[in-house]
Amino acid sequence: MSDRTAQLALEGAGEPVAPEDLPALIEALLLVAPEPPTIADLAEAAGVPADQIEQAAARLGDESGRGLIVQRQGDHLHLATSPRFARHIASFLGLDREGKLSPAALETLAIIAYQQPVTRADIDAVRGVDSSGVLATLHARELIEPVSRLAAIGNPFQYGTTVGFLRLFGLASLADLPPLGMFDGAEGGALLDQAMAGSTATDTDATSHSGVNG
Amino acid sequence: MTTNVVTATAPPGSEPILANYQLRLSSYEGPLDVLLRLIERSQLDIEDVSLVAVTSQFLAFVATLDTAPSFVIADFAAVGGRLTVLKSRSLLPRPVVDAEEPEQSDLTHQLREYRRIKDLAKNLGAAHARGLSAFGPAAGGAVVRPLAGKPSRLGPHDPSSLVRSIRRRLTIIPRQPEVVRQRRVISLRDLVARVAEHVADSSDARFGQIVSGFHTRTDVATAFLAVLVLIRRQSIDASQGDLYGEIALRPGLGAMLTDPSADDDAFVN
Repeated sequence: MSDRTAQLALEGAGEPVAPEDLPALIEALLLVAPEPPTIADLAEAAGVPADQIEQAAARLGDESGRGLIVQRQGDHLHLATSPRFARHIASFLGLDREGKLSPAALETLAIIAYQQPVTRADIDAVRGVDSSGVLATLHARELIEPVSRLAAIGNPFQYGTTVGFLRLFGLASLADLPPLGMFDGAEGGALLDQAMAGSTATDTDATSHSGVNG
Repeated sequence: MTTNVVTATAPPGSEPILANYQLRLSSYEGPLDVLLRLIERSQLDIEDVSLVAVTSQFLAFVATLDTAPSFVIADFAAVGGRLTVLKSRSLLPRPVVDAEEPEQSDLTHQLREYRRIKDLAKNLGAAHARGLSAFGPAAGGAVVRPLAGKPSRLGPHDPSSLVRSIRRRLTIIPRQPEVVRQRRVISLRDLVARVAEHVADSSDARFGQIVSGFHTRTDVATAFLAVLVLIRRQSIDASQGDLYGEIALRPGLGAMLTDPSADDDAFVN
């Protein structure tokens, strides 16, 4: 993987890029990469340490005048359009609005987003009802996926959110979700609005909310 | 979310109950949802005291679920049971304990957790309704010629990703329930009848003959139990020449050999 990244960077592979050029290079690499590269891939292609890539990606997101954002799912970076232009883009692509998510689906999605990785039993325990049907629907819509197996009897799947989830809600990373404790009533709604409006920054610690548990 | 919350008729002398199950199907997400709304409707905080206050309303609601699928009723009955325990605790006098942290039930905790998730889900729903989504590239990037001899990153439409995608879509289709074929179980009652019949018909009945066609230990053990039952009834006598030797069976003093249904051994049933 990293060899090929270096090949794509062609002649300049391995030569350190000037810090001010890094965001532009990341954007360029993300544009041509047919599969979302990891931060390590990009670091190798740019010839800089991984933390510089993270900082540069965050800088890229801070530039509000752009039409693109960088989304972080695990170690992978994805290029996506700014949520500000969602309506224009949907109309340009001729996309219909996707079907509304049911309250059950939203509840399940919320549990997974905030407590991932979680098993179906964890979700059932919070909701007090069986969630297998809802999980299948969310999986088919590519909003969640099995990410691991719990080391317990039966080795149940543990679910996490996908990049499709980030896209649907226009978030740059899971770290953009407001902390669970702050989510009370209208205040929480305002926070999410804020997160979505400003979801341009790629957080340097996308996993900081994993395992948040009220 | 608050649409379709229906206050139904109030039975004489009781608190108002919620609407029937048909309305619930479209309105509620489960027992915790119903409980939460009962508490919110009564403008109470989530505390054990509040749970006790709405217990009878909740149970009245559960009583309307008789036509619901059993798994739905089970969920509601479980929560109803926990509420009843809480209520009974609050009604019965208890020894005074040191006033430490107020005891809080699991149900209270679970309800608080559920309310938070519900608030969060509500906000996610509102965010979804605004449609501020981000879009990723639909397919690969620019068309370039890969370097000679080097595998390319391009070409995301490989067969395996197609298979993955189809599999994912297929998960939404409900599966046929698996049918498990259960082995026929020979009951003790049947075996008592069979052993009795065998001993009556044969002059040289042996335990080994009776169990010769049995393949599991359970069946053999059940047959042995049947023999013990018949010995106890004095329907048969048994003798064993050597340790671990063959057990010979012959008719006993009792004359009820041919009427196994007339047994008075309660545990044969």
